[in-house]
Amino acid sequence: MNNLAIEVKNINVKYKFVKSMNIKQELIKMIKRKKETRTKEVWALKNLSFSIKRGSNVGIIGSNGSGKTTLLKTIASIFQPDSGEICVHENSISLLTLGAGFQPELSGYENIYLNGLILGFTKEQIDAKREEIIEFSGIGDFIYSPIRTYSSGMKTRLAFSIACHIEPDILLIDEVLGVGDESFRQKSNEKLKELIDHDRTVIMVSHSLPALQELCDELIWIEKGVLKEYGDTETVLNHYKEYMNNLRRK
Amino acid sequence: MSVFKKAINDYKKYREYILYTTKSDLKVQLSSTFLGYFWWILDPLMYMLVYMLVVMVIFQRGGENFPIFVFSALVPWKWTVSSIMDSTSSIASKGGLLQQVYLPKFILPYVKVLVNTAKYIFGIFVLLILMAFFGAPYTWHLIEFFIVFLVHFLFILGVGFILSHLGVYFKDINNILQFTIRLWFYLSPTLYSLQDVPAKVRILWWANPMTTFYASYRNIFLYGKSPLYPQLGFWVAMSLLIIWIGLKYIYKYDKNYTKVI
Repeated sequence: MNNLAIEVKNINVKYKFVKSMNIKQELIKMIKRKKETRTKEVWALKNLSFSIKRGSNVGIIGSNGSGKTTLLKTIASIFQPDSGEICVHENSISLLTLGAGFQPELSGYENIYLNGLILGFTKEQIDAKREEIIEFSGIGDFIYSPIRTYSSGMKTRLAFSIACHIEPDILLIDEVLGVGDESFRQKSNEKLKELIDHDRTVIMVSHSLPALQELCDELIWIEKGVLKEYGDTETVLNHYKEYMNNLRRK
Repeated sequence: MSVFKKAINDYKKYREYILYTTKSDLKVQLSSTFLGYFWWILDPLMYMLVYMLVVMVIFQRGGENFPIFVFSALVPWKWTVSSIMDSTSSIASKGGLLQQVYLPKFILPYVKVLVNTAKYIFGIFVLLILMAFFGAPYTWHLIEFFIVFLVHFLFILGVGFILSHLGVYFKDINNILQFTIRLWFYLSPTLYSLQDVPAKVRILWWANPMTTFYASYRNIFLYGKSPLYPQLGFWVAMSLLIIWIGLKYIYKYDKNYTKVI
Protein backbone atom coordinates (compact mmCIF):
# COMPACT_ATOMS: atom_id res chain seq x y z
CA MET A 1 0.00 0.00 0.00
CA ASN A 2 1.70 3.16 -1.06
CA ASN A 3 0.99 6.51 0.36
CA LEU A 4 0.28 8.37 -2.84
CA ALA A 5 -3.10 9.61 -3.97
CA ILE A 6 -2.20 10.67 -7.48
CA GLU A 7 0.80 10.09 -9.65
CA VAL A 8 1.16 12.20 -12.74
CA LYS A 9 3.73 10.84 -15.14
CA ASN A 10 5.06 12.91 -18.03
CA ILE A 11 1.74 14.20 -19.21
CA ASN A 12 1.47 16.34 -22.28
CA VAL A 13 -1.75 18.01 -23.27
CA LYS A 14 -2.15 19.84 -26.49
CA TYR A 15 -4.98 21.90 -27.82
CA LYS A 16 -5.48 21.57 -31.47
CA PHE A 17 -7.23 24.47 -33.07
CA VAL A 18 -8.66 23.44 -36.35
CA LYS A 19 -9.57 26.40 -38.46
CA SER A 20 -12.89 25.49 -39.90
CA MET A 21 -12.69 24.55 -43.51
CA ASN A 22 -13.82 27.32 -45.77
CA ILE A 23 -14.34 26.65 -49.42
CA LYS A 24 -13.48 30.19 -50.52
CA GLN A 25 -10.16 30.21 -48.74
CA GLU A 26 -9.39 26.70 -49.89
CA LEU A 27 -9.91 27.73 -53.48
CA ILE A 28 -7.74 30.81 -53.10
CA LYS A 29 -5.06 28.64 -51.57
CA MET A 30 -5.28 26.23 -54.45
CA ILE A 31 -4.95 29.02 -56.99
CA LYS A 32 -2.05 30.66 -55.20
CA ARG A 33 -0.52 27.24 -54.58
CA LYS A 34 -0.01 28.07 -50.98
CA LYS A 35 0.45 25.24 -48.56
CA GLU A 36 -0.90 26.05 -45.20
CA THR A 37 -2.02 23.71 -42.52
CA ARG A 38 -5.36 24.37 -41.01
CA THR A 39 -4.34 23.18 -37.60
CA LYS A 40 -2.56 25.12 -34.98
CA GLU A 41 -1.25 23.28 -32.00
CA VAL A 42 -0.69 24.68 -28.58
CA TRP A 43 0.92 22.61 -25.92
CA ALA A 44 -0.91 23.48 -22.75
CA LEU A 45 1.05 21.12 -20.54
CA LYS A 46 4.56 19.96 -21.28
CA ASN A 47 6.05 16.88 -19.76
CA LEU A 48 4.61 17.39 -16.32
CA SER A 49 5.27 14.85 -13.57
CA PHE A 50 4.60 14.94 -9.89
CA SER A 51 2.95 12.89 -7.23
CA ILE A 52 0.68 13.92 -4.45
CA LYS A 53 0.56 12.29 -1.05
CA ARG A 54 -2.66 11.00 0.38
CA GLY A 55 -4.43 13.52 2.57
CA SER A 56 -2.36 16.50 1.60
CA ASN A 57 -3.69 19.81 0.36
CA VAL A 58 -1.92 21.02 -2.72
CA GLY A 59 -2.35 24.36 -4.44
CA ILE A 60 -1.52 25.15 -8.01
CA ILE A 61 -0.22 28.61 -8.89
CA GLY A 62 1.00 30.24 -12.04
CA SER A 63 0.23 33.27 -14.14
CA ASN A 64 -2.81 33.41 -16.43
CA GLY A 65 -2.81 30.93 -19.26
CA SER A 66 -0.12 28.77 -17.76
CA GLY A 67 -2.23 25.64 -17.80
CA LYS A 68 -3.53 25.43 -14.23
CA THR A 69 -7.12 24.73 -15.15
CA THR A 70 -6.08 22.42 -17.95
CA LEU A 71 -4.08 20.42 -15.43
CA LEU A 72 -7.02 20.22 -13.07
CA LYS A 73 -9.37 19.15 -15.83
CA THR A 74 -6.95 16.56 -17.05
CA ILE A 75 -6.74 15.09 -13.56
CA ALA A 76 -10.56 15.14 -13.41
CA SER A 77 -10.52 13.14 -16.67
CA ILE A 78 -12.36 15.82 -18.62
CA PHE A 79 -9.37 16.11 -20.94
CA GLN A 80 -7.32 13.30 -22.27
CA PRO A 81 -3.55 13.69 -21.98
CA ASP A 82 -1.92 13.27 -25.37
CA SER A 83 0.85 11.28 -23.80
CA GLY A 84 1.82 10.18 -20.33
CA GLU A 85 -0.53 8.89 -17.71
CA ILE A 86 -2.27 9.82 -14.54
CA CYS A 87 -2.63 7.15 -11.88
CA VAL A 88 -5.30 7.77 -9.32
CA HIS A 89 -4.99 5.51 -6.29
CA GLU A 90 -8.29 6.49 -4.72
CA ASN A 91 -11.83 5.50 -5.49
CA SER A 92 -13.47 8.76 -6.29
CA ILE A 93 -12.20 12.01 -7.65
CA SER A 94 -14.25 15.01 -8.58
CA LEU A 95 -14.00 18.59 -9.61
CA LEU A 96 -16.00 21.03 -7.52
CA THR A 97 -18.22 22.73 -10.07
CA LEU A 98 -21.16 25.02 -9.74
CA GLY A 99 -24.43 24.40 -11.47
CA ALA A 100 -23.41 21.79 -14.01
CA GLY A 101 -26.42 20.82 -16.09
CA PHE A 102 -28.86 23.25 -14.52
CA GLN A 103 -32.12 23.49 -16.43
CA PRO A 104 -33.53 26.99 -16.10
CA GLU A 105 -37.09 25.86 -16.82
CA LEU A 106 -37.16 23.40 -13.94
CA SER A 107 -37.57 24.08 -10.25
CA GLY A 108 -34.64 24.31 -7.89
CA TYR A 109 -35.85 21.11 -6.31
CA GLU A 110 -35.58 19.17 -9.56
CA ASN A 111 -32.27 20.78 -10.35
CA ILE A 112 -30.85 19.42 -7.11
CA TYR A 113 -31.44 15.96 -8.53
CA LEU A 114 -30.25 16.84 -12.01
CA ASN A 115 -27.07 18.46 -10.79
CA GLY A 116 -26.52 15.86 -8.08
CA LEU A 117 -26.80 12.93 -10.46
CA ILE A 118 -24.29 14.55 -12.80
CA LEU A 119 -21.87 15.03 -9.92
CA GLY A 120 -22.11 11.31 -9.23
CA PHE A 121 -24.57 11.06 -6.37
CA THR A 122 -27.09 8.25 -6.44
CA LYS A 123 -30.73 9.12 -6.11
CA GLU A 124 -30.89 7.75 -2.54
CA GLN A 125 -27.94 9.87 -1.52
CA ILE A 126 -29.71 12.96 -2.81
CA ASP A 127 -32.92 11.95 -1.07
CA ALA A 128 -30.96 11.82 2.15
CA LYS A 129 -29.13 15.10 1.66
CA ARG A 130 -31.89 17.09 0.01
CA GLU A 131 -33.18 18.81 3.12
CA GLU A 132 -29.70 19.70 4.22
CA ILE A 133 -28.91 21.20 0.81
CA ILE A 134 -32.07 23.30 0.74
CA GLU A 135 -31.45 24.41 4.29
CA PHE A 136 -27.85 25.38 3.54
CA SER A 137 -28.74 27.35 0.43
CA GLY A 138 -31.24 29.45 2.40
CA ILE A 139 -33.52 29.72 -0.62
CA GLY A 140 -36.66 28.78 1.25
CA ASP A 141 -39.90 28.41 -0.70
CA PHE A 142 -38.26 29.52 -3.92
CA ILE A 143 -36.91 26.01 -4.23
CA TYR A 144 -40.17 25.04 -5.94
CA SER A 145 -39.99 27.81 -8.56
CA PRO A 146 -38.12 27.50 -11.83
CA ILE A 147 -34.48 28.47 -11.68
CA ARG A 148 -34.90 31.08 -14.38
CA THR A 149 -36.78 33.19 -11.84
CA TYR A 150 -33.80 33.15 -9.46
CA SER A 151 -31.38 35.98 -9.06
CA SER A 152 -27.82 35.10 -9.96
CA GLY A 153 -26.93 35.12 -6.29
CA MET A 154 -29.62 32.58 -5.48
CA LYS A 155 -28.46 30.41 -8.33
CA THR A 156 -24.89 30.31 -7.12
CA ARG A 157 -26.05 29.69 -3.58
CA LEU A 158 -28.04 26.68 -4.65
CA ALA A 159 -25.24 25.47 -6.90
CA PHE A 160 -22.69 25.79 -4.14
CA SER A 161 -24.93 24.02 -1.64
CA ILE A 162 -25.19 21.00 -3.91
CA ALA A 163 -21.53 21.01 -4.86
CA CYS A 164 -20.25 21.18 -1.31
CA HIS A 165 -22.16 18.08 -0.29
CA ILE A 166 -20.07 15.81 -2.45
CA GLU A 167 -17.60 13.72 -0.53
CA PRO A 168 -14.98 12.40 -2.92
CA ASP A 169 -11.63 11.00 -1.81
CA ILE A 170 -9.87 13.53 -3.96
CA LEU A 171 -11.39 16.96 -4.37
CA LEU A 172 -10.35 19.35 -7.11
CA ILE A 173 -11.21 23.02 -6.67
CA ASP A 174 -10.93 25.68 -9.33
CA GLU A 175 -11.39 29.18 -7.87
CA VAL A 176 -14.69 28.86 -6.16
CA LEU A 177 -13.81 30.52 -2.91
CA GLY A 178 -16.29 33.20 -1.97
CA VAL A 179 -19.68 33.12 -3.62
CA GLY A 180 -22.87 35.01 -2.87
CA ASP A 181 -23.39 37.90 -0.50
CA GLU A 182 -21.28 38.61 2.57
CA SER A 183 -23.04 36.27 4.99
CA PHE A 184 -23.26 33.41 2.52
CA ARG A 185 -19.64 33.94 1.53
CA GLN A 186 -18.61 33.44 5.11
CA LYS A 187 -20.77 30.38 5.43
CA SER A 188 -19.55 28.90 2.16
CA ASN A 189 -15.90 29.55 2.96
CA GLU A 190 -16.34 27.83 6.29
CA LYS A 191 -17.99 24.88 4.60
CA LEU A 192 -15.24 24.74 2.02
CA LYS A 193 -12.57 24.81 4.70
CA GLU A 194 -14.38 21.98 6.43
CA LEU A 195 -14.26 20.00 3.18
CA ILE A 196 -10.58 20.78 2.73
CA ASP A 197 -9.51 20.19 6.31
CA HIS A 198 -11.17 16.82 6.35
CA ASP A 199 -8.49 14.20 5.77
CA ARG A 200 -9.01 14.06 2.07
CA THR A 201 -6.66 14.95 -0.71
CA VAL A 202 -7.36 18.36 -2.15
CA ILE A 203 -5.89 20.03 -5.20
CA MET A 204 -6.88 23.63 -5.74
CA VAL A 205 -6.25 26.36 -8.22
CA SER A 206 -6.43 29.90 -6.95
CA HIS A 207 -5.05 33.33 -7.55
CA SER A 208 -5.64 34.30 -3.97
CA LEU A 209 -2.23 33.84 -2.38
CA PRO A 210 -3.41 34.38 1.21
CA ALA A 211 -6.02 31.66 0.77
CA LEU A 212 -3.45 29.26 -0.58
CA GLN A 213 -1.08 30.11 2.21
CA GLU A 214 -3.73 29.33 4.74
CA LEU A 215 -5.12 26.16 3.20
CA CYS A 216 -2.29 24.37 1.42
CA ASP A 217 0.59 22.28 2.68
CA GLU A 218 2.35 22.28 -0.64
CA LEU A 219 2.29 24.26 -3.86
CA ILE A 220 2.82 23.37 -7.45
CA TRP A 221 3.99 26.24 -9.57
CA ILE A 222 3.56 25.90 -13.30
CA GLU A 223 4.57 28.46 -15.84
CA LYS A 224 3.61 28.11 -19.53
CA GLY A 225 2.77 24.47 -19.07
CA VAL A 226 6.06 23.53 -17.45
CA LEU A 227 6.52 22.58 -13.84
CA LYS A 228 8.61 25.29 -12.27
CA GLU A 229 8.66 24.30 -8.67
CA TYR A 230 6.98 21.88 -6.32
CA GLY A 231 7.55 22.18 -2.62
CA ASP A 232 6.17 23.41 0.67
CA THR A 233 3.96 26.48 0.55
CA GLU A 234 6.31 29.07 2.09
CA THR A 235 9.27 28.44 -0.18
CA VAL A 236 7.34 28.24 -3.41
CA LEU A 237 5.24 31.25 -2.53
CA ASN A 238 8.34 33.36 -1.86
CA HIS A 239 9.93 32.36 -5.13
CA TYR A 240 6.70 32.98 -6.96
CA LYS A 241 6.29 36.46 -5.51
CA GLU A 242 9.88 37.27 -6.38
CA TYR A 243 9.34 36.08 -9.92
CA MET A 244 6.17 38.09 -10.32
CA ASN A 245 7.85 41.23 -8.95
CA ASN A 246 10.70 40.79 -11.41
CA LEU A 247 8.24 40.49 -14.24
CA ARG A 248 6.49 43.63 -13.20
CA ARG A 249 9.74 45.61 -13.02
CA LYS A 250 10.58 44.65 -16.58
CA MET B 1 -16.75 -6.00 -28.75
CA SER B 2 -15.06 -4.19 -25.92
CA VAL B 3 -16.83 -0.90 -26.66
CA PHE B 4 -20.16 -2.60 -26.08
CA LYS B 5 -18.96 -3.85 -22.73
CA LYS B 6 -17.67 -0.39 -21.84
CA ALA B 7 -20.92 1.21 -22.92
CA ILE B 8 -22.98 -1.22 -20.86
CA ASN B 9 -20.85 -0.60 -17.78
CA ASP B 10 -21.14 3.15 -18.20
CA TYR B 11 -24.83 2.77 -18.84
CA LYS B 12 -25.29 0.96 -15.53
CA LYS B 13 -23.33 3.63 -13.72
CA TYR B 14 -25.31 6.49 -15.23
CA ARG B 15 -28.71 4.83 -15.45
CA GLU B 16 -30.34 7.11 -12.92
CA TYR B 17 -28.92 10.18 -14.61
CA ILE B 18 -30.15 9.03 -18.01
CA LEU B 19 -33.66 8.43 -16.71
CA TYR B 20 -33.81 11.69 -14.84
CA THR B 21 -32.55 13.86 -17.68
CA THR B 22 -34.90 12.18 -20.11
CA LYS B 23 -37.82 12.93 -17.84
CA SER B 24 -36.74 16.49 -17.20
CA ASP B 25 -36.08 17.09 -20.91
CA LEU B 26 -39.64 16.05 -21.66
CA LYS B 27 -40.90 18.18 -18.84
CA VAL B 28 -39.07 21.25 -20.13
CA GLN B 29 -40.56 20.77 -23.57
CA LEU B 30 -44.02 20.40 -22.08
CA SER B 31 -43.85 23.33 -19.73
CA SER B 32 -42.77 25.76 -22.42
CA THR B 33 -45.86 25.34 -24.59
CA PHE B 34 -49.44 26.16 -23.79
CA LEU B 35 -50.93 22.95 -25.16
CA GLY B 36 -48.24 20.72 -23.64
CA TYR B 37 -48.98 17.05 -24.14
CA PHE B 38 -51.50 17.87 -26.82
CA TRP B 39 -48.73 18.77 -29.22
CA TRP B 40 -47.50 15.19 -29.19
CA ILE B 41 -50.90 14.14 -30.47
CA LEU B 42 -51.59 17.17 -32.63
CA ASP B 43 -48.25 17.16 -34.36
CA PRO B 44 -48.60 13.86 -36.28
CA LEU B 45 -52.33 14.46 -36.73
CA MET B 46 -51.73 17.78 -38.44
CA TYR B 47 -49.18 16.22 -40.74
CA MET B 48 -51.61 13.47 -41.59
CA LEU B 49 -54.27 16.04 -42.42
CA VAL B 50 -51.89 17.94 -44.65
CA TYR B 51 -51.00 14.83 -46.65
CA MET B 52 -54.60 13.72 -46.77
CA LEU B 53 -55.47 17.07 -48.27
CA VAL B 54 -52.66 16.95 -50.81
CA VAL B 55 -52.98 13.33 -51.86
CA MET B 56 -56.68 12.56 -51.46
CA VAL B 57 -58.27 15.88 -52.31
CA ILE B 58 -55.87 17.52 -54.74
CA PHE B 59 -54.31 14.55 -56.50
CA GLN B 60 -57.40 12.35 -56.11
CA ARG B 61 -55.10 9.44 -55.23
CA GLY B 62 -54.39 7.33 -52.20
CA GLY B 63 -55.51 3.75 -51.94
CA GLU B 64 -57.72 2.02 -49.48
CA ASN B 65 -57.63 3.48 -45.98
CA PHE B 66 -55.09 6.13 -46.88
CA PRO B 67 -55.21 7.94 -43.51
CA ILE B 68 -53.95 4.90 -41.60
CA PHE B 69 -51.62 4.08 -44.46
CA VAL B 70 -49.91 7.44 -44.19
CA PHE B 71 -50.15 7.79 -40.43
CA SER B 72 -48.44 4.44 -39.72
CA ALA B 73 -45.46 5.68 -41.72
CA LEU B 74 -45.49 9.34 -40.69
CA VAL B 75 -45.25 8.73 -36.96
CA PRO B 76 -42.17 6.48 -37.30
CA TRP B 77 -40.72 9.00 -39.75
CA LYS B 78 -41.13 11.87 -37.30
CA TRP B 79 -39.48 9.76 -34.65
CA THR B 80 -36.53 8.96 -36.89
CA VAL B 81 -35.94 12.50 -38.07
CA SER B 82 -36.27 14.30 -34.77
CA SER B 83 -34.07 11.77 -33.00
CA ILE B 84 -31.40 12.12 -35.65
CA MET B 85 -31.54 15.91 -35.73
CA ASP B 86 -31.44 16.16 -31.94
CA SER B 87 -28.57 13.71 -31.69
CA THR B 88 -26.46 15.66 -34.15
CA SER B 89 -26.23 18.64 -31.83
CA SER B 90 -26.32 16.60 -28.62
CA ILE B 91 -22.59 16.64 -27.87
CA ALA B 92 -21.73 19.90 -29.60
CA SER B 93 -24.35 21.86 -27.66
CA LYS B 94 -23.37 20.54 -24.23
CA GLY B 95 -20.00 22.28 -24.15
CA GLY B 96 -20.61 24.04 -20.87
CA LEU B 97 -21.60 20.90 -19.06
CA LEU B 98 -18.83 18.75 -20.48
CA GLN B 99 -16.22 21.31 -19.44
CA GLN B 100 -17.36 20.87 -15.87
CA VAL B 101 -17.84 17.15 -15.39
CA TYR B 102 -16.93 13.96 -17.10
CA LEU B 103 -19.77 12.10 -18.76
CA PRO B 104 -19.50 9.19 -21.16
CA LYS B 105 -20.49 11.01 -24.31
CA PHE B 106 -22.74 8.37 -25.82
CA ILE B 107 -25.24 9.18 -23.09
CA LEU B 108 -26.09 12.51 -24.73
CA PRO B 109 -27.42 11.23 -28.07
CA TYR B 110 -28.97 8.32 -26.21
CA VAL B 111 -31.02 10.66 -24.02
CA LYS B 112 -32.18 12.56 -27.11
CA VAL B 113 -33.33 9.35 -28.73
CA LEU B 114 -35.16 8.35 -25.54
CA VAL B 115 -36.95 11.70 -25.36
CA ASN B 116 -38.18 11.28 -28.91
CA THR B 117 -39.12 7.67 -28.25
CA ALA B 118 -41.45 8.77 -25.46
CA LYS B 119 -43.23 11.05 -27.91
CA TYR B 120 -43.31 8.28 -30.48
CA ILE B 121 -45.10 5.94 -28.08
CA PHE B 122 -47.69 8.67 -27.69
CA GLY B 123 -48.12 8.79 -31.45
CA ILE B 124 -48.60 5.04 -31.59
CA PHE B 125 -51.43 5.31 -29.07
CA VAL B 126 -53.05 7.92 -31.27
CA LEU B 127 -52.65 5.53 -34.18
CA LEU B 128 -54.35 2.76 -32.22
CA ILE B 129 -57.30 5.04 -31.57
CA LEU B 130 -57.46 6.22 -35.18
CA MET B 131 -57.57 2.58 -36.30
CA ALA B 132 -60.97 2.19 -34.69
CA PHE B 133 -62.10 5.41 -36.32
CA PHE B 134 -61.10 4.35 -39.82
CA GLY B 135 -62.03 0.70 -39.40
CA ALA B 136 -58.61 -0.94 -39.53
CA PRO B 137 -58.60 -4.43 -38.00
CA TYR B 138 -57.18 -5.09 -34.53
CA THR B 139 -55.31 -8.38 -34.71
CA TRP B 140 -52.81 -10.33 -32.66
CA HIS B 141 -50.15 -9.05 -35.00
CA LEU B 142 -50.20 -5.79 -33.08
CA ILE B 143 -48.00 -7.51 -30.50
CA GLU B 144 -45.31 -7.86 -33.14
CA PHE B 145 -45.03 -4.09 -33.11
CA PHE B 146 -42.48 -4.38 -30.33
CA ILE B 147 -40.11 -6.32 -32.54
CA VAL B 148 -40.24 -3.75 -35.32
CA PHE B 149 -39.97 -1.00 -32.74
CA LEU B 150 -36.82 -2.53 -31.28
CA VAL B 151 -35.09 -2.91 -34.63
CA HIS B 152 -36.03 0.60 -35.65
CA PHE B 153 -34.83 1.91 -32.29
CA LEU B 154 -31.42 0.28 -32.74
CA PHE B 155 -31.14 1.77 -36.20
CA ILE B 156 -31.94 5.28 -34.98
CA LEU B 157 -29.51 4.90 -32.10
CA GLY B 158 -26.69 3.90 -34.42
CA VAL B 159 -27.25 6.80 -36.78
CA GLY B 160 -27.61 9.13 -33.80
CA PHE B 161 -24.25 8.03 -32.36
CA ILE B 162 -22.40 8.58 -35.61
CA LEU B 163 -24.01 11.96 -36.26
CA SER B 164 -23.40 13.16 -32.71
CA HIS B 165 -19.71 12.58 -33.32
CA LEU B 166 -19.75 14.32 -36.69
CA GLY B 167 -21.75 17.19 -35.24
CA VAL B 168 -18.75 18.21 -33.14
CA TYR B 169 -16.12 18.29 -35.85
CA PHE B 170 -18.10 19.05 -38.94
CA LYS B 171 -20.34 22.06 -38.54
CA ASP B 172 -21.84 21.86 -42.02
CA ILE B 173 -23.60 18.66 -41.13
CA ASN B 174 -26.76 20.58 -40.26
CA ASN B 175 -27.05 22.07 -43.73
CA ILE B 176 -26.37 18.72 -45.32
CA LEU B 177 -28.95 17.04 -43.12
CA GLN B 178 -31.67 19.54 -44.00
CA PHE B 179 -31.40 18.55 -47.61
CA THR B 180 -30.65 14.86 -47.14
CA ILE B 181 -33.62 14.34 -44.89
CA ARG B 182 -35.96 15.95 -47.38
CA LEU B 183 -34.64 13.70 -50.09
CA TRP B 184 -34.82 10.67 -47.82
CA PHE B 185 -38.46 11.46 -47.05
CA TYR B 186 -39.45 11.32 -50.71
CA LEU B 187 -37.29 8.29 -51.38
CA SER B 188 -39.07 6.42 -48.60
CA PRO B 189 -42.49 4.99 -49.36
CA THR B 190 -44.23 7.29 -46.89
CA LEU B 191 -46.91 8.73 -49.18
CA TYR B 192 -46.88 5.94 -51.73
CA SER B 193 -46.52 2.21 -51.53
CA LEU B 194 -43.65 0.24 -52.92
CA GLN B 195 -45.83 -1.03 -55.74
CA ASP B 196 -46.03 2.49 -57.14
CA VAL B 197 -42.28 2.49 -57.71
CA PRO B 198 -41.31 1.35 -61.21
CA ALA B 199 -40.44 -2.34 -61.08
CA LYS B 200 -37.04 -1.74 -62.66
CA VAL B 201 -35.71 0.35 -59.79
CA ARG B 202 -37.82 -1.13 -57.02
CA ILE B 203 -34.95 -3.28 -55.79
CA LEU B 204 -33.00 -0.13 -54.89
CA TRP B 205 -35.73 0.87 -52.43
CA TRP B 206 -34.76 -2.02 -50.18
CA ALA B 207 -31.42 -0.35 -49.51
CA ASN B 208 -33.45 2.18 -47.56
CA PRO B 209 -34.22 0.82 -44.10
CA MET B 210 -37.41 2.88 -44.00
CA THR B 211 -38.90 0.66 -46.71
CA THR B 212 -38.63 -2.34 -44.43
CA PHE B 213 -39.86 -0.46 -41.39
CA TYR B 214 -42.85 1.12 -43.14
CA ALA B 215 -43.90 -2.13 -44.76
CA SER B 216 -43.67 -3.86 -41.40
CA TYR B 217 -45.66 -1.17 -39.60
CA ARG B 218 -48.31 -1.24 -42.29
CA ASN B 219 -48.55 -5.00 -42.15
CA ILE B 220 -49.18 -4.75 -38.43
CA PHE B 221 -51.51 -1.77 -38.27
CA LEU B 222 -53.32 -1.91 -41.58
CA TYR B 223 -53.25 -5.35 -43.15
CA GLY B 224 -53.18 -7.55 -40.03
CA LYS B 225 -50.09 -9.41 -41.13
CA SER B 226 -46.67 -10.19 -39.70
CA PRO B 227 -43.78 -7.78 -40.23
CA LEU B 228 -41.07 -8.60 -42.77
CA TYR B 229 -38.85 -10.73 -40.57
CA PRO B 230 -36.01 -11.55 -42.98
CA GLN B 231 -35.46 -7.89 -43.86
CA LEU B 232 -35.75 -6.89 -40.21
CA GLY B 233 -33.11 -9.48 -39.39
CA PHE B 234 -30.78 -7.84 -41.89
CA TRP B 235 -31.38 -4.39 -40.40
CA VAL B 236 -30.70 -5.65 -36.88
CA ALA B 237 -27.26 -6.72 -38.06
CA MET B 238 -26.69 -3.43 -39.86
CA SER B 239 -27.89 -1.41 -36.88
CA LEU B 240 -25.60 -3.24 -34.49
CA LEU B 241 -22.75 -2.58 -36.87
CA ILE B 242 -23.38 1.18 -37.01
CA ILE B 243 -23.91 1.31 -33.25
CA TRP B 244 -20.54 -0.36 -32.88
CA ILE B 245 -18.87 2.06 -35.27
CA GLY B 246 -20.55 5.02 -33.54
CA LEU B 247 -19.55 3.89 -30.07
CA LYS B 248 -16.00 3.25 -31.21
CA TYR B 249 -15.65 6.80 -32.46
CA ILE B 250 -17.38 8.33 -29.47
CA TYR B 251 -15.13 6.46 -27.07
CA LYS B 252 -12.02 7.24 -29.06
CA TYR B 253 -12.73 10.95 -28.84
CA ASP B 254 -14.38 10.72 -25.42
CA LYS B 255 -12.09 13.21 -23.71
CA ASN B 256 -11.08 15.16 -26.79
CA TYR B 257 -14.46 16.66 -27.61
CA THR B 258 -14.01 18.98 -24.64
CA LYS B 259 -10.99 20.55 -26.30
CA VAL B 260 -12.93 21.76 -29.30
CA ILE B 261 -16.44 22.57 -28.10
